[in-house]
Amino acid sequence: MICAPFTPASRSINLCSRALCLLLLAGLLSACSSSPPLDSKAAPRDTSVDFTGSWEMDYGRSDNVEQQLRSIYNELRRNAERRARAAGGSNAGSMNAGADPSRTMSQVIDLARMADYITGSQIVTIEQGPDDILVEREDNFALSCTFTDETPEPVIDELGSELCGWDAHQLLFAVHLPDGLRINHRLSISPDRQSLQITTTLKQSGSAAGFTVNRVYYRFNPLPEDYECEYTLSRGNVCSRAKL
Amino acid sequence: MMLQARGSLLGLVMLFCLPVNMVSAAVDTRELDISLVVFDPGIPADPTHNKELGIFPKIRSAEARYLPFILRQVLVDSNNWGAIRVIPDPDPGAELLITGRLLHSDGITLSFELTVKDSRGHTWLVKTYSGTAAETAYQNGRQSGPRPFQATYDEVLADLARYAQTLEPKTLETIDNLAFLRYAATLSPDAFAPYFKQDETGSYQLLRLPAYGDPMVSRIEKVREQEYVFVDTVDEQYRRMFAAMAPTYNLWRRYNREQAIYQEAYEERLAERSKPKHGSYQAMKRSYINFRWSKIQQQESAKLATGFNNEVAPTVMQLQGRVVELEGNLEQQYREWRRILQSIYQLEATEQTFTR
Repeated sequence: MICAPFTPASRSINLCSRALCLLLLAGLLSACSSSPPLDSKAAPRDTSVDFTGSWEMDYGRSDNVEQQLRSIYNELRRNAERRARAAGGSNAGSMNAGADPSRTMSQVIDLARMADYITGSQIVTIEQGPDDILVEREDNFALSCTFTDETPEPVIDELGSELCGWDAHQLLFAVHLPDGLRINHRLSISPDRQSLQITTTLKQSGSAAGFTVNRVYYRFNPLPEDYECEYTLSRGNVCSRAKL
Repeated sequence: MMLQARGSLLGLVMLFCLPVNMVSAAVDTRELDISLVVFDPGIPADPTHNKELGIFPKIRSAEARYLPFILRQVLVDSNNWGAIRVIPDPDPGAELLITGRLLHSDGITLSFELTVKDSRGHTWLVKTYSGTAAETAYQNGRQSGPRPFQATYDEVLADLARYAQTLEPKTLETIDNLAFLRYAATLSPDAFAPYFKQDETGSYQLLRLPAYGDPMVSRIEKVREQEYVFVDTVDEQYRRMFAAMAPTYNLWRRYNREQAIYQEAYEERLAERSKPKHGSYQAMKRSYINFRWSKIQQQESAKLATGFNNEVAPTVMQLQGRVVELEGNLEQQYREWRRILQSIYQLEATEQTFTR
């Protein structure tokens, strides 16, 4: 249930670590990473969804990339052993048995490191209006999207392209980098609006492997609300007591 | 007004009595008034392109009004031209009309296209000007020294002067007369349109001049003077607004310049490094960091633009209530003012007819 709507009780999906084999893993990740296709018209938007707020990562409910990798490694090893036994060979336990699992493992490890690197933001601040959204991520660039009823158009520059859109109650961002790395972020919010989940899937062109990591955030109140801040060019951020 | 003085027989006789070398001497461009139209900000019709082009519409609109004033100041400082006015709409009665379109402005590079035409409809130049700001252009608190992109403005000055040198004094006289008559024709087409004609190329030719002492000419002169008063009043308001805006605008350009230079250096450093294996963690990370840097740079610029607007907006608002609505409605006010002047002229002309 990789792409199922997020509920607080569902905990982290941890798809990759529970895959039965690497091929199934890759297939499932591929299915998740491309669902729904952002280059076609996304499902109608659920206008009641509002991600606005300040969010802090809940490490207890977020995926642990190291654990995921360990699970994948164990699955892969068991799979290689099964294949070796079936073939009656003597190299049981070797990662090189079958369809070059060591190479695939290496690709998954690289993707996992990237996923960990990309999704490390501890704080996420979201401002959503009727027509757009800005997802500010600590130590990373902000994801922004202007909502449209038309087919989403990618924003392309020489360093990469971006596409965003709604899939019913979930908001999707797809980043495609020139070397073939595809990054999909899927944002969903719990019904009680106290938890935010960002599911990030990475795929590299020319490789069947993919990697998905789920980060869960809880809502927090960052500043006393009786302050109003305004950024000015010459004085920087100027805060004053709000008029009561 | 040149219409009678230069058009008089005495003037003509004096012209013929001058030595030949003086007749062919360069004209005195200080007799030529210039109307500078507020620039076209060059904002794409499709707002989705603004982000990729690094265009912030409010700043671009402010720049489109600000830069003609800088150019005017440069022309005034040269002391080579007559009255120089910045106007919101093209003026058919301009002796020399300068229109412009902003192409690029990011603190490092300023690029704009200028079209300069005289009242004969002759094009002096259509040219794209591009310049780079010096490293010291936006230093804190600088009150003296060359303004940013001074060399670009100097190039405009030189081009105008070069074209002016090719004119004969008689041409200057024609420009002056045609400017007046074209302006007069906007107020009273029936009376003044027969004095000139427009050919298929769009150029205007002077056919004849109004009779000496024609009362209609003096009425037109009065109306025109009133229009100048209006333009000069607006001009003064703009001047005050831009004096207040200049420090913030320079700060914005300075920050933008620093960001752009840093990004350029960063990309050069990246290019120098050896390329990691395709699909490796290092390759993916490098690709991602490049993209992230580019996005952060764009987003920082957008933040600066917000800071710019937060600081400048109150000034605009304060001015709005005081004289004219400078934000967006000046063009309408100008048209309305011209319409009122036209009505006054018609009323006076009718009264004159009845009292004769």
